[in-house]
Amino acid sequence: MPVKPLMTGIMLVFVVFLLVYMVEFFIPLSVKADIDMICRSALLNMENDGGLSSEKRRELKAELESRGLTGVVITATENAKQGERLTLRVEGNYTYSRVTSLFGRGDVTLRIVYDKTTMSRKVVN
Amino acid sequence: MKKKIPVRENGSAVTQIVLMAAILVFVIMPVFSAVIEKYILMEKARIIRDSVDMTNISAYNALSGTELGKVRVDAERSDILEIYRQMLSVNLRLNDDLEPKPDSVAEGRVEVLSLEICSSGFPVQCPEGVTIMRPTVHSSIRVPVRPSLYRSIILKMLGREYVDIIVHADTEIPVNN
Repeated sequence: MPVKPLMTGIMLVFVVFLLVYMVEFFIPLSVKADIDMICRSALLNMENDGGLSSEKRRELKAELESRGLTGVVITATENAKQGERLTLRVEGNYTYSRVTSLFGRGDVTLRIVYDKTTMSRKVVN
Repeated sequence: MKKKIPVRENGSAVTQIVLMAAILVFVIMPVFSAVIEKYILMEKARIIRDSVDMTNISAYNALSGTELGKVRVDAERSDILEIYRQMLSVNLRLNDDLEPKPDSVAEGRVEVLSLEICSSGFPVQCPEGVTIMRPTVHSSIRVPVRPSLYRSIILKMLGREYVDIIVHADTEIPVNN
């Protein structure tokens, strides 16, 4: 029996599995970076406007959902004067497919949270 | 006449498996580990830089409206530093003494290396040597983070536990307050 080619094949399959498994580590990191960027942009707007209006909240939710986030919960300060704290907290689930066994893939769900605080710049006379 | 050297065509399968396993353990996995470790550290640095950026602008916004309107800062440096520390604590999940809470990206005491508000005499240079042309809040902090995978083992062998991430952010202040 040709043992050597058989073992080579098995090892190659294993190496490919390992490489795919390792490369898929980057997916959640990349998604988290995207979500953070969207939320950061929203927080900068909040700083300027003194809060997050209902319309902006809907826009933010829609944008996050378009990136694959589900069950999005947004908690944000609606109105703050200059010098008061503004908080934006966004939570959501991100489900993606990844290698779970040698010949199998499965869905994995991650909880992504963004929570930052800044101060309002809007001067109210 | 050349003597023909016998070539062994059918190498041992066991040797091949051992070789491939060795390549996997000593080449592929450490290289990948180093890459993902670097990526994770860069991500942590990005999260910290975002927090520092927000904190910079917050420290400035927390000052009085009159000072903001004139783009001139007369407040005590200690007051600004106190506001900065408070906001940094909130954004990086730290206690008041800048020790990390359990859910913080930092894994050791955070240190504020420098904090300056550059509001006049442009162009000026921040303590890190960056030329500043507009009103700016400069800050630099040191955040200890614990590496994972192979690097933590190497660090432990060197008698260290953390990698220090030094984040420097110069945040421009909007002039039209």
